[in-house]
Order: sequence, then structure tokens, then C-alpha cells
Amino acid sequence: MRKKYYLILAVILQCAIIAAVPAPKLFARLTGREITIKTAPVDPYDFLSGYHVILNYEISSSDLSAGLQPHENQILYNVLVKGEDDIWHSHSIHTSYPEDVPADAVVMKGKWQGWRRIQYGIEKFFIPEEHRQDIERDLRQNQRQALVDIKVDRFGNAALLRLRVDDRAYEY
Amino acid sequence: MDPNKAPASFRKRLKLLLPLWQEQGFVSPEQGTRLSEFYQLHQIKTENTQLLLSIIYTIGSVLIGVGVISFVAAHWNEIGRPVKVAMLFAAMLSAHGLGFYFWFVNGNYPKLGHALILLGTLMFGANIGLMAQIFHISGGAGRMFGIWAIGAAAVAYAVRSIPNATVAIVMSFVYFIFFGRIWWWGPENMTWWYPVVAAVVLLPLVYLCNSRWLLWLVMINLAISSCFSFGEYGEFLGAYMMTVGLAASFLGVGVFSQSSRSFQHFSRHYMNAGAALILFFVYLISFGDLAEEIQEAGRLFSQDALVAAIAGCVYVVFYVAVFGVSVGLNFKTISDPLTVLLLGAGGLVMGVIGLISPLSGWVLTNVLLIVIAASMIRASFSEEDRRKFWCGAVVLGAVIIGRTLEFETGLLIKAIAFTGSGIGVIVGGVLFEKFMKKRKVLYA
Repeated sequence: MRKKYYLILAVILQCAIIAAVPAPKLFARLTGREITIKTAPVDPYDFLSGYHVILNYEISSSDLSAGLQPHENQILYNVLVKGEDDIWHSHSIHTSYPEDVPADAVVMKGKWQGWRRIQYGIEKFFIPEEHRQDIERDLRQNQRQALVDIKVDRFGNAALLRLRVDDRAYEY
Repeated sequence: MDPNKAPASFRKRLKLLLPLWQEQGFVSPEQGTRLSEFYQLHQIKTENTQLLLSIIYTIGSVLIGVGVISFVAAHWNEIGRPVKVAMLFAAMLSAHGLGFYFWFVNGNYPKLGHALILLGTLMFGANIGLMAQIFHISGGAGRMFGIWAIGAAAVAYAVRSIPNATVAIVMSFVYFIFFGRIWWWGPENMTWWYPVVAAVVLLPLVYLCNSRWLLWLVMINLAISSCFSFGEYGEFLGAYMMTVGLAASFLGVGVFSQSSRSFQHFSRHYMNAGAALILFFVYLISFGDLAEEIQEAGRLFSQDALVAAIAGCVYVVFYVAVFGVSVGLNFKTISDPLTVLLLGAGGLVMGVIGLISPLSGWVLTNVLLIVIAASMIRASFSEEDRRKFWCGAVVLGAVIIGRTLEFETGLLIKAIAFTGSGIGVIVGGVLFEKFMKKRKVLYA
């Protein structure tokens, strides 16, 4: 009865796959540097899709420098620096991990989506069903004040921590 | 041939007729006993109960799986992240563990054990989505289905499970649909490898599980994904070439399966799938506009459409090989006039595109479809095959409706055409059923 041994191996594979899914996010949460970024205004009829908020970051719609023409889904590295308002903004975008990054800067890895958009894999903020209406109302009324705390590890992977609107923090 | 792979309807009818044959003296008691033993007729009732039990367990597992997914998707807020993750693993491992126990340790409830392992695989899929939810991971739901398919395929290979293989095939197809460049937002360079990987990973499962159901699922998966893939690179002509090539491959494998002791029962299904694919494309080309479009694209054939050229060559080679082997070995099924006609149809339409004008192609394909429909209906009477009758009726109805919609005819003519088709199908159906009933009475 080799079947039972094969089954054990298959179940171990399934466990490994499930563990691998959040591994980069977990690594960023454990080792990353915490920064705050701003979410740009989103279409008020589009930002709540099911039970998650769609976050459209200010750093997602960055202008590329002249000569930089990435193809769709190309990996890009966005160097962020802290502004006077304590919010981190885009400084420069590179096609490879930049060398000599200043100590006060953070590098975030993303994918070029065309149309001046970079995706970082943190665009969905899942929310509980019972808080759906409150968050939706809060975001609708204070779109320009929404901030997001994230952690970024040394490879540029980002993990989403919490959404902040004025003095209210949503963390799940 | 494995007697258990004989159609259930045949075995049930044999069980019903055997006493009558023995009574009439057509079959001696010894022959009757041998037939009964060979086809394991005494097991029919037990098999029915087992099948019902499997269906109940499977439906139960799917329902529990959906329930678990909904429960967790409610995003229970009160529980901390580590506890949530532990709960997900515990739920999945419990299902697999109980399944393992009932199937392999206790051994008295293998079907229940199998159903629980299916539940474990469903929970595995739910857990991937929930991990994304817990850790706020975005980046396309499509990938999730691909990973789910890998986990399900692993279990299907491990225990030769048809339900787990079904999950793997369906989820990999969903992955292709969501993630492939079928839609404008899909990533590049994915469609070309999917059909190849699907064939390499999923086809062995069909043979391992020895299942006709899986065979059909994989064939449908390959047919659709290949057409999309080649459509992406070779436009309509590419999709057409690939479809015809794939259909010829199905027919070829169908012919060769006849000489296999273990997989002879796959032969008819491969050939039906091949015939259905060719028939579908002949029907598409029977529309004048599409025939013209293909003829336009056909001019590219001699220039730079390498993919289409390769697919065309594959088709021609298969066609010649299949036909040559079938003639050489004098296989029974290939001499079926309908199959030969369908094989010929593929070749004819190929010729039509390259050589003859769209108008001739249009006329030929329509005539061909009517001949095929008539051939099916004629064969249905001579072979007393209900399926062939209804296939023929559907083809004939599709031709009439297609032509009625294609031309800007008046509403009155359309009304007459639709009503006439409807009445024709009903009258034809009633006459055929009467014929079948009469035959049944004669032989009862």
C-alpha cells in the first residue's frame, strides 16, 4: 500500500504551499522597516469591492524618468524618502535594485502595469463584514486623508499593516 | 477488456435478457453462468449502492467545503492572526487525517475516507485564499487557482482519486481563464505553455484513474486552451489549424486505443471528441463571413504564419497516418461511415480554405453538414442508436437556424424556418421513438 505514503507526501506538499503563500509578507512584517504612505483619491464608487478596500497609492502612479520604458509586468524598484509631513514619497524609479541606497531611504519592489501605474501587491486591504459600512463611509468622507502603514523588507517586499483615516486606525 | 468497464446500461440489459435467452435455448445454462460471471452481473445492485454512497459523500464534502469557505470568508475579527492560521491548518489536516484513517487504517469506510480527503483538498484551496486575506495579499485571484490545481493534482496522483483529479483539472482551467492572456489584462507569454503543461500533467491522471469522465474533462480543457493559445499567435487561422490538428490527434489516439487491452474503452470517447471538434469548426465555416475571414487569413499561410503552418503539417501528418493505419489494420470503428466522413470533412475543409473561393467553401461546408446530419440519422435507424439520431437532429437544426440568422430574410420567413425546424424535430423524434419502441417489442 504505497498509496498512503504518497498521500502523506501530497498533504505535506499542500501544507508547504499554504505556508509559502504568505512567506514574503511574513518576512517583511518580521524584519521590515515601518513607513507611512499616502493613498491617492480613488473612484468613490470603486474602492470597496466585496470585503476589501482597493488602495490606490500615491507612489503607484509615479512618473518615470526619461529613457525608462519598462514592458508590462517588468519589476521596478521605487526609492522612497521621508517627506516633511512624515509621509514617504517616491524619489526615483529603477529597473534593478539600486546600489548605494541612502540610510534614510527605502526601496520598494513593484510591477509596471502600464498607464503610469506600479503594483506592489498591497493594493487590497481585507476588512471584516461587520465593519464594511463604517469604513466605506469613513473613506468616502475623508478620501484625501487616508494613510497606510506598511513594512518593507531589505528585498523591497512590502506588507500592509493598517489603514489610517484621521485619528482612526483600522487593523485586521 | 475489463468487464467492469462495459457500459452499465449494457450490463443491466444483459442481466434482464439472460434468463429469457436461457429459457429460449439461445444460451446454455453454462454459457449463462459464464457470461454472468464475466460481466459480474451479480454485483450490479451492490455497485449501484456504492455509487450512490460515493455521490452522497462527495456532495456532502463539497457542501461542507463551501460552508467552511463561507465561514472563514466572513473574516472572523475576534481571533488573532496566529490562531487563524493554526485553525486553517488544523481544519485541513483533520479532514485529510480522518480520510487517511477511514481509508487506510480502519479500512472499513474507504469511500468515506476518500470523500474526507476530497474535503481536505477543498479546504486547501480555501486556505490559500484565506492566507491572502489574513496577510492582505493582492495580485490576482487567478494564481490562487493555479496553486490549488497543483495541490489537488498531487493528492490525485497519490491516491488515484477521480474527484481530486476533477478539482485539479477544473482549477487549472479556471487559472488559465483568469490568468491567461485571453482578456486584455492577462500577462504575456502564458498561453503558449499552458496547453503543453496541462497535457503533460493531466493526461497521465486519466490513465492512472482509468476514467472516461477525466478523459472528457482533459479533452475539453485542451481543446479550449489550445484554440485560445493559437488564436493568440496565429489569429483565427491558428485557432482553426490547432483545433483540426487536435481533433485529428484525438481520432488518432482513438484508433490506436482500440488495440490496447486496458484502455480500449477510451477509444470511442477519443473519436467522438475528435469528430465533435471537426464538426464544430465545419459549422463555424458554414457561416459565409467567417469562411471569408479564414480565406483572407489563409493568404498569410504562405508568408509568415509559422505556427499555423506547423499546426497544418501536424494535421496533415496525423490525417494521413490515422487513415493509413485504419485502412492497413482494418479497424472496425474506423470503417464506420460517419467517422470516415468526418475525417474526410476535416481534409476537405482544409482544401477549401487554401484552394477554393469562400463561396464554394460556404456551399461545400453546408452540403457537408447536411450529409453528416443525414448520415447520423440514417445510422441511428440501422444501429438503433438514440444518441446518433439526436446528434443528427441537432446538426440539421443548427444548419437551418444558422442560415436563417445569417441572411437578412423577412421575419415571416424566419418564423416559418424556426417553426418548421421545431415541428420537424418533434415529429422526427416521435417517429424515432416509435421505431425504437417497436424494435424493443419485437426483441423483448
